[in-house]
Amino acid sequence: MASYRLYNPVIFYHLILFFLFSISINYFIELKYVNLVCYVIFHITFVYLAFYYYNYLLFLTGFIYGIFFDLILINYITPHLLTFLSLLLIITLIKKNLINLNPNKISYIIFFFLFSSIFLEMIIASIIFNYYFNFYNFLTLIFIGLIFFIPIIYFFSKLDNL
Amino acid sequence: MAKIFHVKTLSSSKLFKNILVSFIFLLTFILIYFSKTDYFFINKLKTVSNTYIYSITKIVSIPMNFVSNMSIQIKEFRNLKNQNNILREEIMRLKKWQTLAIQNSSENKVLKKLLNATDNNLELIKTAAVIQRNDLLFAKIININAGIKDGLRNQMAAINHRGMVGRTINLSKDHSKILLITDPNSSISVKTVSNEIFALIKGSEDGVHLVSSFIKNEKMPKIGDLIVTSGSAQIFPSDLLVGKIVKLSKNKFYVLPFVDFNNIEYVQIVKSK
Repeated sequence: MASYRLYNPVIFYHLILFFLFSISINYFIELKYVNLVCYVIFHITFVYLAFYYYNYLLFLTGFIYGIFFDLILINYITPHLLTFLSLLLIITLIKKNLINLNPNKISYIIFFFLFSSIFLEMIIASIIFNYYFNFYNFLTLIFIGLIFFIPIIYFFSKLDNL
Repeated sequence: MAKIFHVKTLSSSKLFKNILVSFIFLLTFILIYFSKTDYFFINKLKTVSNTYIYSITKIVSIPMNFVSNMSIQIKEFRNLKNQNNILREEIMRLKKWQTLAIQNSSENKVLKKLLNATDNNLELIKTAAVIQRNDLLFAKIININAGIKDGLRNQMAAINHRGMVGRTINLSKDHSKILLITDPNSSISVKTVSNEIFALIKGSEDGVHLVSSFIKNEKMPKIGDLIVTSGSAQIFPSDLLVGKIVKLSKNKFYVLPFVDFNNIEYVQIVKSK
């Protein structure tokens, strides 16, 4: 019982988020793909948290990470902040309808959210801040998402069952 | 039969949740609204992200930094023999040039005296090291370890030994951001060395080249023309090397910068004298 109280996966997920955020915003020329991988896994972790460990405080988390991702990667606030908050809002609204779905279908939905969040960030940055929608970068991020999605979800499910 | 009225009441915790979420959304829209204008609060947030977030995340990414440095060192070690040969040849070549340069320098001095000309118009403010890069996905920005304390101001030119690197933005006490010339939002006024063509250029879609966004009198330059800053916008000093024209298309020209943006370790912040 004591160990159950001590172990809280949410804390681990938040530590993972912070670690991934730190790597994503520090670009190392020699390890370009590590940055991109961390950026994608951050999104997967955030969507996963919103699905399985939803708490209203996640809005605050999304707000803080959104602001700093925007300020560090774009120098203006909007794309990440808006995407994270709208993502949380949509998940909160449709969560009741998803509760009866099997885990496989939920995984597809998580992937769909990952895809749309990255797309939304890039499209907002291109519309509002004149950053070209780099299709190659977008495909790279989606490809990384496809490769890492299943191992990450598997790892998270193991983390949940600890 | 009397009607029964159900009055919905919110518990205090639910009320708190609703207020917090609404407040966050309200704050988000305020921040988005003011994000493009330089208001005090946005600037403060940028300073925090520049100074504190960088320091905290740097600690977490120490292992990554270590691996990155190791891979660079291994690469350099592999190329050591080749580089040694190249350097030996270059020394031989430079020795010939040195003799010529000494002759030219003394000639130059005499001619300058005759013309009553002044030396170059640059004043070095600070040489700073690049401490963080964020030029992968969206903006092309690097962080340097110099700030207001070192005499830096907004919109100062950053150069290195090869030419124009970018300009300072978002300064804090000890750190500053440099918006690289390859960023699509970085517009600089340039001219050809021959003073024939004046234009504005910005970062292109590929993130490597610079593309013209405006050409004065719609005069097109030639491939191979050298591009330098014109100094007409009063932001950058004039005659800083930018790049070479490599491609012409309909009403546009593409410039390949002289600076290798993958290998920037130090930059010099300069202004006009």
